[in-house]
Amino acid sequence: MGRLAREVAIIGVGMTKFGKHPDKTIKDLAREATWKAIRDANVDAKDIGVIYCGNAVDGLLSGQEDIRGQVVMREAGLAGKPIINTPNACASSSTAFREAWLAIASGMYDIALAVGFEKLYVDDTAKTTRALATCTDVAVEGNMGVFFPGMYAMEAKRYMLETGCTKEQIAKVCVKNHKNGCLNPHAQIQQEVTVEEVLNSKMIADPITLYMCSPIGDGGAAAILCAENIARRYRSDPILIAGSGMASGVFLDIDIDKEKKNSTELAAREAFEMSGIGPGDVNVAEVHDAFSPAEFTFFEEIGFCNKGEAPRFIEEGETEIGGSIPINTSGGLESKGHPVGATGLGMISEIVWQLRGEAGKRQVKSPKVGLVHNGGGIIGGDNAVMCVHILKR
Amino acid sequence: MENELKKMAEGLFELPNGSPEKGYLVGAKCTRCGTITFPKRMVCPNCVKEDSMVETSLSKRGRLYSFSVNQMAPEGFKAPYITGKIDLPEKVRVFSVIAGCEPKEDTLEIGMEMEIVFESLTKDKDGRDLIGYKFRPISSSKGV
Repeated sequence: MGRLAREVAIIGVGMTKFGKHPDKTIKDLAREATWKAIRDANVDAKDIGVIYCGNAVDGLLSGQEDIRGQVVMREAGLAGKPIINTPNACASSSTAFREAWLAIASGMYDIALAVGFEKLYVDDTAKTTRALATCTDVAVEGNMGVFFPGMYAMEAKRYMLETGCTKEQIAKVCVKNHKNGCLNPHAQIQQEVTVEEVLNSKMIADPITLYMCSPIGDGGAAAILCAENIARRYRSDPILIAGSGMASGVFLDIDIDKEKKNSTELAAREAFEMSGIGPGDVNVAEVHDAFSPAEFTFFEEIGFCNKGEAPRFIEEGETEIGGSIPINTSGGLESKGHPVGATGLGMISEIVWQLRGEAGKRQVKSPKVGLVHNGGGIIGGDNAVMCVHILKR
Repeated sequence: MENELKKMAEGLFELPNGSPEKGYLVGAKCTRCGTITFPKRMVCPNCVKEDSMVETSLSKRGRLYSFSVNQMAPEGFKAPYITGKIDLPEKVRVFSVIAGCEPKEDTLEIGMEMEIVFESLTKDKDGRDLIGYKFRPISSSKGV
């Protein structure tokens, strides 16, 4: 691993409400999130040196196949600056965030904007589903009949067989996240559910039911990063980026050897090593629950516990807001929503609010360290992209 | 006389003499470390070097790693339908649609022995069958 030239901090975050916004375009969503972050950071927008824009599938949905960042940033008043597009499926905006971090850490730029935006709701579920299927290897999965929830359902079945995890335990993750979502004004779904309601909701691909799936929606989220040594000009509470890890799917379809690490394990390990922080030191985390059962496997792969132990944490309330390791206080993807290009920065916003003490009714008690785990796409049995960030106060 | 069967995709499998019964998946094997991949690759993912991969045919049978009975289907496929992953002896895990059984939870079991079958997967825009590979439980082929 290399070394940073200097430390980087987050001085502003902002997001739109995630949900169905038929009256808003990606330009509106990106502009709204961007200016919320700019206001939050107290920066003069003219001082932004570089911009990274995360969006996954707008090309297929609206036709804007390229220059998406440049198109939306013109609306935001930021044309002329260097703008880099970072399409990386559901991890597009974590990728934008990581690149912004690197740009400042290198010493080249003092202030950067990372923004994610997505408009999945086009009133045609089949069209959205087709677009999202391009987040697989189209030659051997996308065109071969892949059904995204089915891919997660396969892994959930396997997990249940190997660990004894039950459907009720998976449903409890869904219940927790919906309960948290009710406390989040930005969440798409603000409705509590019971275990029974979750299990009785429409079957999608056993064991995954409708309520366990993240909803189709739209949204934008953004962050302003700056060099740590100038951060206090803008805010008295900059949040430090202590570690960043990134990996691509290790194509587990060709090696079933348990010694190989998957993308979550690789990205998490890099972030922990870089930060000098361990899983036991994390006080709050956002974990990529595109479907409820994924929260268990990711929780284990990040290193919060050993394989098979995650269901015990939900049973004992340890991942609730008041527990020892609160997970998805925002409501998670299931309840807060998953407008894929915006998701990563939405998670980062939540952790920043938690660390600042600005999370309102979702506030965890005095957290010092937060973790953001955001993945994208599927390659074989692994995520195609995985980003893990560790933030600290 | 017989129209040549149109494949779903090139390079993934062969149908010797145009015969689905003789069909097999095409992978690649590293002559340096023995790693086998599907689909075939030009660079060994284990050695991360070029020039050591050669094409190889893959086993027709394997064990069911997992499956999902999907209540919705993408365009070109009809719900409910089953998708699964099959572990071949070459340490290769293949994704495919599952054929030869009812799309219900109790017709399959993880660990079941499965065999490959080549048949119409979906249709092209002219309504012509596109031949692809599926796996089916071995017992479903008995008595045919």
